[in-house]
Amino acid sequence: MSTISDSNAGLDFELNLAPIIDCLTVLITFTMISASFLSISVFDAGMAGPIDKADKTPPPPVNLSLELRSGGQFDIVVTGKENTTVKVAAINGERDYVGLAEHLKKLKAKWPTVQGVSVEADENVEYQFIVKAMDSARPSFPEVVLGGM
Amino acid sequence: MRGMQTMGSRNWFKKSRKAPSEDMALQITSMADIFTILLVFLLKSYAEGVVTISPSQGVTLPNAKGGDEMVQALRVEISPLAVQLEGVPVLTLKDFKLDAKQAKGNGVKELEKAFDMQRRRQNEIAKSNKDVKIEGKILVLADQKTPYTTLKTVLTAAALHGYTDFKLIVVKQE
Repeated sequence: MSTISDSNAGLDFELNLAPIIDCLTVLITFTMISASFLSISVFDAGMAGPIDKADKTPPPPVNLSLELRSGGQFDIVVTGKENTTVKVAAINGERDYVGLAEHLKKLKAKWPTVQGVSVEADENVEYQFIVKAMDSARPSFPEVVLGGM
Repeated sequence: MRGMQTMGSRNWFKKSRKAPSEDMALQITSMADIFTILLVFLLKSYAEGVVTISPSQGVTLPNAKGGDEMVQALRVEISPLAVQLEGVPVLTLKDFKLDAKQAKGNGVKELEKAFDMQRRRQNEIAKSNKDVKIEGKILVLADQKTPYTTLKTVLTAAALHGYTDFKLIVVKQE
């Protein structure tokens, strides 16, 4: 008459958590060592490729060139149907990225079909300033390329 | 009677008052829960990166708000002391700058030779494996203080060998 209680006793068992904790500790240690907490992304800055003869897209009305000067100034050189240079002066020795973005926005409103701008800099201008300038130009002109090559 | 009552209450008091246990039972169940949650979080962040890029020691990448997804391509790294192509140093620098001799002499030629070798290697692989396409993509991992003149020298050498699609690696700014 003890068969029912015997079968119930066979179904119950105590889970030994110690080896599971060991496995979890090793896995967590491994993933923490190999995990990268830096969010890295890619900024497309390719050179313009060769002109495809089959491409029937009309050339842009103006060519834009963004030049970073050593003193902190930006020069936006417009060539083509309009030839002009827009200067964005530095503020307290710091580059004015907000002013640059505003000027580029105005140019985009004037020339909506223009999609690209090439970025150049003086010899000693640091790479971080070039990237920031490209980042400021991207909302208005998505095709930002590195020029002067 | 009174004495017997006192004795009884003393015995009851002794029975109800247990000696404090010196062994503390560790709550392993809660620890297992915490470890499981931690592991799930770490596995999630581990699986997200398809291509992992680790800049060399001493290289600080610039910050940028925009950015696209990571791609697999030839990697060139510019640090204060060297230019590396696929992890192999090809040009020595002094505080990011080329020596005057290097700029005019063999220094840039070494760089061009390295790019040429990579291009030939890619062509050979593309010949033997039709699934591999010849691409002009190049990942640029440059320190944020790299002067434009050094960057221009390296990228011009790359462009001369067909690597014109520059992908600048940046740290995404939230």
